[in-house]
Amino acid sequence: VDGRSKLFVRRARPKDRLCAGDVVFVETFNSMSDTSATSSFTGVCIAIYRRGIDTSFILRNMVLNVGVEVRFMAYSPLMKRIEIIQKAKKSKRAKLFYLRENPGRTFQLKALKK
Amino acid sequence: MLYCRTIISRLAGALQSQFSTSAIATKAKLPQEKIRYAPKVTDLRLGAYTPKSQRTGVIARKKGMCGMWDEWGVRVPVTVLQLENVQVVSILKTSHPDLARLQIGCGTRKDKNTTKPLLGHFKAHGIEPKAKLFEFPITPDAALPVGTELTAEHFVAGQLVDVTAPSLGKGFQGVMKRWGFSGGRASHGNSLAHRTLGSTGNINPGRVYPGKKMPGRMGGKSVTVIRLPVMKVDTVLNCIWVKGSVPGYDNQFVKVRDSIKLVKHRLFPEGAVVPFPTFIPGQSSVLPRELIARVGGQDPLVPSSD
Repeated sequence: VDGRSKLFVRRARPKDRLCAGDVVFVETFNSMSDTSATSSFTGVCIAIYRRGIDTSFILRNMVLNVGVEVRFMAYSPLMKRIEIIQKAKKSKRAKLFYLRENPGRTFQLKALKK
Repeated sequence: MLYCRTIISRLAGALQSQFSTSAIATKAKLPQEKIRYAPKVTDLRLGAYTPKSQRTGVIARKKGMCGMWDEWGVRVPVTVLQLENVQVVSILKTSHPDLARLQIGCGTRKDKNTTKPLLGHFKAHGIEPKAKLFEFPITPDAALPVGTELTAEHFVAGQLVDVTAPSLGKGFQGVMKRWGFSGGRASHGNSLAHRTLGSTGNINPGRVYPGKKMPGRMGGKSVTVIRLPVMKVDTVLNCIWVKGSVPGYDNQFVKVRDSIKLVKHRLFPEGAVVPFPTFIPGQSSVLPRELIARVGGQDPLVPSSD
């Protein structure tokens, strides 16, 4: 848990911090009873909600030509790891909900295609 | 005739005067002199908990709400209740030896803000003035001596608890909010009667029954939420984390007691060590900083095999 909070603290260095627009890889446990089974998701972070223990973020990706958004609770025990694959270029927004209508080239990034 | 009657009355009077002292004596005893009982407890000692025992409740402060994850990774909303200087103020006298009541005090209050009668009451029992007082009924085996401090370790992680507090005041409210009436139509010719009461009765008896649901002041009444599980006990900060919500606003005094309505439920989790009559620092075993309840049951995130 302690390792993760650097991603969400506002005072952390820009390279350590999670920002809107980063490409993020998240791995989660499917259940607490069987910790070997995991699911993973990669996506562009379009929103971060900083609420202490209820801190969460939304990742968006195109899966089989369908836009999929997943909201992850950062401090949930089901989260195995969160990694920033690619840092974003400076975006002028904290919430990138406009990407739903105007994706542009965002979802053609190589990092997302993995 | 008249003369006979007067003689008889004088004789009766004389007879009465002979028995007068005993008559007065019997009159003094009925209405019976009130006999009051109180359990005598001098020292604080751990006892054995039986299902028929009733421990004291506690007064706590509602600090706010938070979230936590249980052992299955499911998020549980919790209310944090903090115990501040909770002490037994006095043992009350009751009308029957099998009934007992303890007066519990919580918080602190400056001497200058406490009324003289209350100051005298606290001084008589040797306790610092408290901000809130409340009585809890107990069984005599759960009696505690005056001045005993009640801490969060009084509660067992996983037990069920009833929380009583005045609910949030909503002011003068209409019938739709207060009683859940459906009101009238929004359109189709409805004139000025969208949120009204409607009819208040029938042509017979031709009056409105007392207690008819009508607009009025809503909220601010004592509400008890029953069977809330204690998810976590924090021994350092003296808090209990209780699942779900609790009536009233933050920083308000709430009364917490072991659940009473338990036909299909267990009060304490299986194999729990119940601190009876309360947690005694010298005698009960030392507890870790945080005691988190185990929810048990099947993993809800694993699809059950049919």
